[in-house]
Amino acid sequence: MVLLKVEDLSVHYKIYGNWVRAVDDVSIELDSGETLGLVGESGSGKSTLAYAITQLLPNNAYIKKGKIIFNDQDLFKYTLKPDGTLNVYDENIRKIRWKEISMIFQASLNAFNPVYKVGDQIKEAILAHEPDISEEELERRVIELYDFVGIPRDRINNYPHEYSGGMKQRAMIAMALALRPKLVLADEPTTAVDVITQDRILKEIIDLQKKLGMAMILITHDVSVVAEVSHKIAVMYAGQIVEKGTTREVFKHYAHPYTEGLLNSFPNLFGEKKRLSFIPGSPPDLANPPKGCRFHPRCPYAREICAEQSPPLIEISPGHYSACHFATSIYGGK
Amino acid sequence: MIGNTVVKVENVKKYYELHKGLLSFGPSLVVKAVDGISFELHEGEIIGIVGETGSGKTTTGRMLVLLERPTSGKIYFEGTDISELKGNKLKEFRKNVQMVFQDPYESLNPRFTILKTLMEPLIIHKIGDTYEERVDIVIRALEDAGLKPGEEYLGRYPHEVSGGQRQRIAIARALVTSPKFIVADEPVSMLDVSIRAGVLNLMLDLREKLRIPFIFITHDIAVARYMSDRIFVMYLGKIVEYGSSEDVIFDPLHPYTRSLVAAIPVPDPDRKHERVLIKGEIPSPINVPPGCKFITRCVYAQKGICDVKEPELREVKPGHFVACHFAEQIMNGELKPKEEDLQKEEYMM
Repeated sequence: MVLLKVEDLSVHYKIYGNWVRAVDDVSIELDSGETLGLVGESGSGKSTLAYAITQLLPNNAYIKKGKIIFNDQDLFKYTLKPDGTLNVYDENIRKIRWKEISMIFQASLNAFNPVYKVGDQIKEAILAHEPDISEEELERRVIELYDFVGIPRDRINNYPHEYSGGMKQRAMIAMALALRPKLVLADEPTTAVDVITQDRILKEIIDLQKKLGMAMILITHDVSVVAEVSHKIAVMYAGQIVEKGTTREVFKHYAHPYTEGLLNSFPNLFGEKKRLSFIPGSPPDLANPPKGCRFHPRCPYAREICAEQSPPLIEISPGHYSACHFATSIYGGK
Repeated sequence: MIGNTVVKVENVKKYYELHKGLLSFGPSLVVKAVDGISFELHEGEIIGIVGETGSGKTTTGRMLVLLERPTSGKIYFEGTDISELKGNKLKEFRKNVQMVFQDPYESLNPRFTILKTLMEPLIIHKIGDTYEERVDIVIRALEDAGLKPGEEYLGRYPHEVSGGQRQRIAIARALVTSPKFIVADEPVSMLDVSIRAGVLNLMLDLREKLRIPFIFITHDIAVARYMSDRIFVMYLGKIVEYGSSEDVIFDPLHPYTRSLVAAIPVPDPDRKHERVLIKGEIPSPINVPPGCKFITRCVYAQKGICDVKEPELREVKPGHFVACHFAEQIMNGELKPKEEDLQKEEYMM
């Protein structure tokens, strides 16, 4: 069942009179219980896309076009104002947000209020959506969540500063799951923690997802994390999706020069030790993106047409899409 | 390829005493950031120091360039004890060692042009006689750092160049005094993934070309393997294992290194993930108990031995050292993790 459908979404920011094209013509689809890894560098638009899905864009963000259908509801129907900005306070969307779509923020250290106990903050989130819940039931739910993410129960009445980094991240996960959402957006959930903690949190996310059957969008710059966790992957570059498909397909038969560059620029821990290749140049300024294919100034295969025409995202094999004029000639028709 | 010893570190410790409140009594609290480490760095060699947050890897790097003074122990640079350097000798030392910091957005003065940033060390150390000569040295350093043509960058400010170029400028600044060794502290962790590899390759090239030895500090063991000839694994201020990069990664002997290696995600959806056998998180470095410092997280810890006697680094295989009482037994599978730990393991934090 299709849970989330983003169709041709364009979100542009107005900054000092310039239009920054943060997300341009992005379409993704996600079924219940599925994990999508959204990979890209900083400034590629992946977080903007996530905030658009939660309808939490700032007031200088304008929806230029597109739709977000979640659970058969058009979310913009509730929030879109005539000028293209969002009314983030809309009552209907507030009922959906956190109850059905929740988010694990990157900096869990800052996501909690330092002067309230962590358990109370989770209770507050539950109370906001279920005001009639009894005190005992509320207590029971929080204990259940703590058991679930593996934080000892006696920590419920601690303040955020008494938690270690990994524990805070777990508490953040508990809070995101407090209302059993259908979709969780995880924005770089493990960037701020050490590798051993990262490994545990990822395992936990996979376990919980299996148990609860929720869908997840995992936003990260680390392709290895995606390889371990996601069913599907979408690679973003300069506000656009350049390649998407199942994780296995994209890793084994990548069909876009940016994906190729990204995969080859990570040192592999166990593979043969060979010189890393890297992508020359740096990501473009989205206030003034290059004409044609946005990747062409950095692309080793670029030809004339690339500077002229923007390549469409085409299906090169079932379920595998690439936005490159030469996807099949470079990478074969597989 | 390995040449003379450039830096020798002997049993170096760095303790920080915590300030207590006015009315608190009893023994003062001591953070043992670095607790007795020794190693040698040779000409043309890159040593990778890996560890989690709080393992003491950054403090080690800062002591090597004398940004911190060791509480005890000695650091020798080309045979001289650097703690005794004063006046001109100290200045000479500062010229010879350079550091590349993690965040190029903070380590460059935003109000200095790139020329001014790179010129300062030349003026301070009286390198080059005329202005033109110094500009030449600056241009050469920029080009060594992969910024070609160097002239183009001289008049720019840090905000006018990209993150990757900024880190290259920080490297050029380190190169401008022709240092004899460089400490690089997480030099790529703030950079975008697509440009990291370029900066890593640059440092490898500089080692080839100029034979500058590096100390490369990182939390990413895959990057450490790519960069280093030898890897040193630190845990709570101690070196727990070291050896050639390939030995440490493919044949880790210390239970901590084994978990560290097993925990790394690998960009291959077909690879089966090994189970990570470790409990909890790195404990606070304040007043750590006697015995092995890893005991709180080790699933192999033996009562009466590990909690009493601190393991010394010993050579288990040629050139491969480990600080664990039971390294061989764990390796051969003679010592099994405790069953109750295996069950709890997932949920211990």
